[in-house]
Amino acid sequence: MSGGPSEFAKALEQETPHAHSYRELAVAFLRVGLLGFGGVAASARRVLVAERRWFDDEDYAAILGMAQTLPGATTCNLAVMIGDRAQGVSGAAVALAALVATPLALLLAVMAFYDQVQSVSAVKAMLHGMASVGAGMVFGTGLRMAWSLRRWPRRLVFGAMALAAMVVWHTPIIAVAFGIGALSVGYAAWSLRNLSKGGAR
Amino acid sequence: MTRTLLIGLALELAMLSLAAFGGAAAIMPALHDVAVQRRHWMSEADFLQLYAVARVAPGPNILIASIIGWRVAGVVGLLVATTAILLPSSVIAMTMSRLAVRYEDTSVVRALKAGLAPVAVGMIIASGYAIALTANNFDIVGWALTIAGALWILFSKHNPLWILLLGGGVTMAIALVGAG
Repeated sequence: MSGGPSEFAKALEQETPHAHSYRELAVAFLRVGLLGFGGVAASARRVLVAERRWFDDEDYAAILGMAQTLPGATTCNLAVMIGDRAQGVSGAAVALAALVATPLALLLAVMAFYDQVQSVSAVKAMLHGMASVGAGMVFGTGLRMAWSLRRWPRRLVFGAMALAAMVVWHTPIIAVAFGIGALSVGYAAWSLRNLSKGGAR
Repeated sequence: MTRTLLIGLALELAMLSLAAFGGAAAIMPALHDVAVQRRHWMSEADFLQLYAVARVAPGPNILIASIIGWRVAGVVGLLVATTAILLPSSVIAMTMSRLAVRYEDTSVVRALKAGLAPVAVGMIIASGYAIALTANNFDIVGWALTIAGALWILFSKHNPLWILLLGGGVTMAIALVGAG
């Protein structure tokens, strides 16, 4: 029963008394972006939970779970949901814009030199090595998520299907996300219902 | 000419935005196919380098879409690409969050969560494989770095930036020694 949406609702509810202003939203998410070297997930937790105490750990886990589930970058979804809750659509826009502002400015600054630097073979080699490590980081993230789902091995079958579809049959990503996604959600709905029926009896 | 380019950019990225369960990692192979093979926006090497740049920069990795946009059509391309990759998923996030708050008992939302997480796992691992294949080919050093990156994420609590910089340092040193 834990981790359900009612906890998510509670988590956002808990957060309302603060009703963050546009300014608070902007400053907080600017900070998340600014401190996000090597990944914004860590800096989001640091700013929102440790520094500002907008959430306690449990509430944060609930809202983070929701942000991870939906399509799109987790931290972007987080900014949208928190911003929307505080100030509606414009709040969501402010939080999201603040989150990506610093990283985008930095990327632009790097890209300005990209053409001159990119042809230097040492830089090329460096970027190549980073791409190799990056691939490993993606693997690691996937394995970590799989490990967190180990209590539901049957659900992971759909993960294996998605993996096979993409690697072996090169199925278009939309088909994987929505086809296998629909099957998996259908199975989850069915098993959750059976579970709650069993619990009631 | 430019307008067709921008429309193509917007449509392709908006589509990927909807499929990005688990974030940017899940759609990386699709992004690669679109940018390199289908639309010929850039070379394979170019894509890999942009990928590396996006990984080191702070912020969500999904911003690789933004620099692809910049590469394709300058500042306008960057704005179009950023909007296209962020807007569809943001609209969904907002809608779902409002629904979840409104309906306390949302078995639908719970089923979505339980069902989509494993699919995201499969997509992300497939993505790691695809990126590793393009980046490393038959290069042993590359595969060693990939394994190191995976182990770091699995077992280290330190910032992954360090392993990225270390990996870049290793290949740069090898290139410099080889040249000298």
